[in-house]
Amino acid sequence: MEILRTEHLEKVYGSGETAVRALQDVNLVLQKGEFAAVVGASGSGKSTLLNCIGGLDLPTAGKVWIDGEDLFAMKEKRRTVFRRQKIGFIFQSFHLIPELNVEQNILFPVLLDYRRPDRERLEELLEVLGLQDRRYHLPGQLSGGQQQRAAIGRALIMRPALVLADEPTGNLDSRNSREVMELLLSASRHYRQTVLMITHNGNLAAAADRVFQVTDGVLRQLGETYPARDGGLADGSETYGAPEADGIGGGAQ
Amino acid sequence: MRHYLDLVRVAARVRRRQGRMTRFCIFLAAALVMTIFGMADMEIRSERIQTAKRDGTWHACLAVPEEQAALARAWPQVESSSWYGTVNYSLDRGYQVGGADTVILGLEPEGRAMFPGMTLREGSWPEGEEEACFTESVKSRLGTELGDTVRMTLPDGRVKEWRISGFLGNVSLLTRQDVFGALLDMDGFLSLGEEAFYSRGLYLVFGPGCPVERTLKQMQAQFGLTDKQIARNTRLLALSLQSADSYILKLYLTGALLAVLVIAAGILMLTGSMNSDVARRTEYFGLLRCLGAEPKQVKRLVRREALSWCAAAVPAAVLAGSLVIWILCAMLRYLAPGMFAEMPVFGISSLGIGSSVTVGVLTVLLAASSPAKKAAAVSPLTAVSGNASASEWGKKAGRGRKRRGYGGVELSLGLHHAGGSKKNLFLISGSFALFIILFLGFTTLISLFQHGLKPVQPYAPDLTVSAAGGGDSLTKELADMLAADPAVKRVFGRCSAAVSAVVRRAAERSEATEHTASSPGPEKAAVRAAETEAALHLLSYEEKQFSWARDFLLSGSVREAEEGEGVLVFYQADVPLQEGDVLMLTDPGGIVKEIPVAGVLRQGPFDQTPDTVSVVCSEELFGELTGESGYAVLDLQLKRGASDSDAERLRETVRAYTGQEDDGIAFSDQRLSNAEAKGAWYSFCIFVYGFLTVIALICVCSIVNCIGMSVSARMRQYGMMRAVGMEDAQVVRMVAAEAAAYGALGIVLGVAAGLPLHRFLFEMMISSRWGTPWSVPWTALGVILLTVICSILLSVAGPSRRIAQMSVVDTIGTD
Repeated sequence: MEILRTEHLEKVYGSGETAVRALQDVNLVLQKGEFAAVVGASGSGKSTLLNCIGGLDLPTAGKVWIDGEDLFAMKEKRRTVFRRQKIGFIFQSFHLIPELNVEQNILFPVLLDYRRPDRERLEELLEVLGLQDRRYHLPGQLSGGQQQRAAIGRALIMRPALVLADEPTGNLDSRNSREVMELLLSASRHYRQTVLMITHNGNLAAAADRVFQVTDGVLRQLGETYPARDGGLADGSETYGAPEADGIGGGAQ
Repeated sequence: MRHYLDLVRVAARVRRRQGRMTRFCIFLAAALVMTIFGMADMEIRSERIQTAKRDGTWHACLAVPEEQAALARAWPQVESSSWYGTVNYSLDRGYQVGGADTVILGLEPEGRAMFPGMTLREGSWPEGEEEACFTESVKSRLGTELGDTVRMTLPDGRVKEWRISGFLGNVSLLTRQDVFGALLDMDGFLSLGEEAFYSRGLYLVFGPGCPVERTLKQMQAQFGLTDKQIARNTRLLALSLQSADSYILKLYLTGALLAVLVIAAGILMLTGSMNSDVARRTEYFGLLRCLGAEPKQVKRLVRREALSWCAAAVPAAVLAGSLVIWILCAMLRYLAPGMFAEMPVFGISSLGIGSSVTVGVLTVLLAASSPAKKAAAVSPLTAVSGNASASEWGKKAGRGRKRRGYGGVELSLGLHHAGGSKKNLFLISGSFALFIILFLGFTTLISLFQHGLKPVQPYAPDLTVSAAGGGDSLTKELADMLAADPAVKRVFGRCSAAVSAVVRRAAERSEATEHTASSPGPEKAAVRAAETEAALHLLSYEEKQFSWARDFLLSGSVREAEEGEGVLVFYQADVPLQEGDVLMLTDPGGIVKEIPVAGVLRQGPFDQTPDTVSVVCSEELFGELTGESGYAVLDLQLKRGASDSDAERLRETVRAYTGQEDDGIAFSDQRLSNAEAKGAWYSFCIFVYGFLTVIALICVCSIVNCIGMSVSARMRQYGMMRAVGMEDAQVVRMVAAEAAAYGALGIVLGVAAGLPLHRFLFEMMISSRWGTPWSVPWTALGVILLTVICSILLSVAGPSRRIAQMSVVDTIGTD
């Protein structure tokens, strides 16, 4: 079942001589339960692609379908609600609401959707995320890995069609990075959750079903499957783009 | 947490300090409104009770014949009515009891409730043509008792006997003038003759909610009454917001204008604070949008947050406002018991609470509306792009032309930051400006009181001796004797005489002169046409009074009058005598003297009589013009701590010198009423200055808050500047330049709008009444400048500390 489709997606910043083509004719299809990674150097257009797919940024041209619906044919208000219900976001710097505890942070999108929280779903997620004994802690009282796990919980609570993860391990050490990746993979397997992840780290990308590379706004698929998909994360892999910006690299160093 | 709006509650619990300053601003604004409206409420309540006691609770009086009176009494809106008449009110008709002038009142039983100040101390109300109630002074001074018969001399020489049915509490007006009062039944009153019959009027009280003015107009139309046949209890009507008196309407307008300004100031200041708060949290709102919050949900969150501040701040403000009102009321009662005896001590003002809650909530909702829109418009990209700190302000500031003038890049940057967001610039400078406008607006109230309260003027006497029948009994020698008394600080006397004069107006004279120059023929006719007869009240001043008069001079000079070469006149809107007019007065020898008007005074130590021009000249000139040398009035100012026995000794001195009993010389002791008026003046000053202080405080807090939040929003930017080599002091100078830019623009806007308002209010309330011309209030402007400078310094102090403690690495690294 097709979850994500982009057609001739383009994004141009500025105009005239100073115009920068951040995305050029991007065509991408993800099926339900697929885990895809996008790698590329800094400034190559990875984040722009993610923002356009997530409806955070408007593309200059092209279309994005999520779960069969044309994202940019909707009005802004409808798109916001659609984003809330169908897309889960995971950010590099976690972006948890500092005044809410773990449980409240995870439930917040449900409350925004005027729905009663599903306690069973919450308990299940807390267990999977290993945050049961941290549920009443504020973000400031958690480690980076725990904060990112809470953010993953928040992204998954609405059972979205698509999870967009923007360098989810960018602020974590190698052990936490591996844990977070395992969580994302397990979510993808366990819940048949479609995930599109941006990363600098080739080792992490290797765990994905499919890997795409963005170079100067052009998207290119690198390979169908990686052996690591079934066997978990492999150590010692190449990094794409600027590894020093990522600073972890699994066992890359 | 059951609803997304609970985020506000949860966040407030975790971050108690957040919005503290904004909460404080709301608290101050609501407390301020509570105090103003509450005090106004208390004052109106107290005034209504006092007015009812002094002037009565009647609304209008009709001078109509019996038939029309019967129709008026049956008018549906009329709640109660009574005939009421007075004779010998001005003590010149010759009604006397025991040799003392007696004021006689006639009233129907229904009318007693209209005059609650008239209390029966002993006995019963009078009935029939034989009975009368007298003031207690008759009992004490004539030694009479209930049931005794008192003989009253009537103007025609007849003697009428009254049986005393009761004694009334002393009515203040009568005791101050050392006279007796008698209250009669209407039958008894009418038995006095024609004068009594024609003096009476029908007094009406209308039902609650009745539009008095409209009803009176209907009555006037139906009965064909002239304006003079209808009298109104103006003060009571004004206090019931029913007055059509133009001066009272102007006061209402002033009150409404200042109330609107207070609300506007509150809205502007809070909007500024909240806008800065939203700007500081742009990334936070971006994140909410990222998580799927719709713009309207973000708006609701901002509004809910603002209301949650209200929930804490408004009740606290109501409590604090009530406390301040109680303290002020207690102070007023203590300082001026005579004027504010009816002031409720622990009164709860529903008007104050209502207005405070309304203004608090309304202000916050209105103030939150713009920031809420701003927050809702935050793009979700803001959260993920990491560029939140390069906010709209910064970007716009960056686009500006960089100046490299004196003061370096940091000052230019500070000014650019201030100008970066026009809205923010308007809000913060607008707060300053409104503070200035309010300050200037309210200072006119102080001028109003200064003009209106005679006891606070330098010439206010403690004791006044006046020769009731005129004559030469109060001589200069007596004045010197009194001045020699150890308790006396100063004695000054005034001669007084009613004279008539021919007035030649300055403008008409010049016209006449021009006319004469062109055609010599009709010269005499032209001059005659310019001359008018006028009744004058001629007064003399001595040296001290002339020196005080200089402070009240509207135009011309005092010197000529002091030297006997001219006169001074008092400003009266309806009798416009002006400088340069010439008065032609005839001296006792029959010689006509031409005396120029040397100057115009705005007020003096006595009440002006309508339709009579008061003219002041030197004592010598007065002697030449009238042939009289004795004073009509001697005013005494006593030294601090002078006692009642000192006053009594002075009274004895006067009595011994003049050889006259009390009925020839009136001795008025104004120490108590002066002290009360001064007490009221001080209380009023405390109230107005306190109010201005609170406005200043709101302004300062709001500015401190705005600058603090603006700095918070740019902290990362400052961190980057520090990282590339900017010193702490330079960053602080940058912030100071931004704050100074807000202040400077605020002063310009505030003074530009505030001075015309000051002038408008001043001319409406003061110039129209006392003739004082408007002048630039330099003192107030100085205070304003000082306050603005202080608030700028204060607003920079906090951020400076934070910038000094800032860790460059952490600041840049913070997302």
